Amino acid sequence: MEKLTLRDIIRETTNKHLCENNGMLFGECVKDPGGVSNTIPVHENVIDTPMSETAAADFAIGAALSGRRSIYVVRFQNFMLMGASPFISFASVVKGIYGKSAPVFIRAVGCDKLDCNHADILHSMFMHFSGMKVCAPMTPGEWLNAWETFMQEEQPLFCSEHRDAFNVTDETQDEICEDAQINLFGISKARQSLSEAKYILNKIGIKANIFHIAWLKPFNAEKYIEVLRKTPLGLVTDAGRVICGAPEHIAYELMHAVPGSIVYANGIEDSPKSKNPKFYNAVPDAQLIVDKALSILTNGRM
Amino acid sequence: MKIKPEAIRDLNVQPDSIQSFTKDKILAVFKNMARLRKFEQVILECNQKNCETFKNKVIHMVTGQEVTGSVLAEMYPKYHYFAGHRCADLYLGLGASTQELRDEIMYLDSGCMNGTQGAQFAYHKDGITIHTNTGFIGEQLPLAAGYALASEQKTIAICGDGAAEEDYALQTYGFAATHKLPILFVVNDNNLSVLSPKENRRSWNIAKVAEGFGLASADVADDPWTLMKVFSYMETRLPALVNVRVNRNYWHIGFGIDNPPLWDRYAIVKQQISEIGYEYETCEIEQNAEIEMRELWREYL
Repeated sequence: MEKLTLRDIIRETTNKHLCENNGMLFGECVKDPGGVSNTIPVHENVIDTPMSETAAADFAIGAALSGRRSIYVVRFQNFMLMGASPFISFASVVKGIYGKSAPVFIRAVGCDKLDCNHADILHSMFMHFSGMKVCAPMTPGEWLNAWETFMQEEQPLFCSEHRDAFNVTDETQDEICEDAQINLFGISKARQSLSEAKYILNKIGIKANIFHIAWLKPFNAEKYIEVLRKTPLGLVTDAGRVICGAPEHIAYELMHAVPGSIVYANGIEDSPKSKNPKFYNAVPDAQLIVDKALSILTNGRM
Repeated sequence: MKIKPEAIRDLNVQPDSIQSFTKDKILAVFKNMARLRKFEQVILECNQKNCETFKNKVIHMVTGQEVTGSVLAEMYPKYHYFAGHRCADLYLGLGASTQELRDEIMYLDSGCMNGTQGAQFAYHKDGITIHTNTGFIGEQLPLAAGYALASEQKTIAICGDGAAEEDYALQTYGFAATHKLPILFVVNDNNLSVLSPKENRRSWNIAKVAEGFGLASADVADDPWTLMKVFSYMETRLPALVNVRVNRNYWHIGFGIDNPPLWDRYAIVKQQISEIGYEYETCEIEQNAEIEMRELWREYL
């Protein structure tokens, strides 16, 4: 049997939700057949909103308040800069403030090597605010896990997707070796370079563990205590910015979990993205991860 | 050219429209108004006796613009409401718990929002549904539109003239028209966003903008009897927006007063009711409201 891609899983799960749960889906330009990389089914409960990210987010939240769990889709995560406020200031806190829940599954699609309006990864921003779970699934199983978590809870969930994962069919596995010298942690698209980075390092005689992180908040640092005790050196690479971002936070959490360990943060630069290859500010590839790992191993710093 | 206060006070008011309503209806609206007035008068008295009582509290006084909530609550007690701050008139009119309102203002756990906000009042008991905003000013409008779309139930969103002009509010009028939502937007237009008058902020009229989006709309002063007719008319033409010209007697927050109100609708209404023969009843309603509210605030007086 042909394996389902992440794209198929998203579309079929969404369709089931719309048909069986009377769910709703809101977003800009989402109603066209094949919309958002063919992740959205054709259904009457799919609502094309006006081109106003903030109002559209509120419409989705209002629907959720009425008891119909909704999905809010932004085709590019950059648009969440406008659409974030209703989730941050209302949906994620309303349960605690007056007891009503507004569960919205926020599908924010990221990409790379596009212009500064379309290529950012902004999941770090949502980790900062109370009441919001943040997941960056890159496989069908991880996405389903995020969805099922959302369906069991009463809070909004920020699902940081990446366009380059929509064709993925297989699950990823953490890879641990006995005498590893460094732990390589990956988030979002950066995960797709971990195996190659490990391979390159191995060719020059350096062994590395690799770990795929999908849940950013809550982040379970305890899961890594044993490996960090054994190999107390790490590098966390994200598809988003490093500064005040997920990789820095997770590096801190890991070091806090295992005192004495040193974990560095890696990601895109503190500058805009671009479509021009000269200014891509792209997600770190395998070679860049290798370079950083070598620098840490050789110089004790990045 | 400066507009005369009377021109706003009487804007689209239908003279003698009080005659269209029964005694019970008229007195019910007045009762809502009187309970709000007395609720806030006792708050003022508490504050005069001990200015520490409301120290660090955020009080948005409704006095002066209590007609809107009083009328809506009387006409549509079972609708789904989305309100912002300055909505104690609606809250009291709908019959929500006065103890929980008081305790919310006092930041007590027993408040209607567990004492977490103090200035906004949500309530979901006894068949009453009031949602409120917790973030952006006016976010209750798009929230209400999403709610109306998903639930297909009649929904009323109330905001001030500042909130009504937020970018997402404007998009909401269009969305409501596009999807023919069962929603009524009610703007309490006191001409002030905090201290900034409308003429400093915009050159357009919200009722006309709403009409441009395809909503039924009206721009009318806060005469309760005219408002009842307008709301009834609009209810058959939803989605709609009604801009209600009101006075805010006090500062945006707290008990300060800059200028006397341009008109005193409460006094006008009381006079109207007396003139049609119910003076005794109005006095009785006021007395009972005062007794109720003094008892409510007794420990702070």
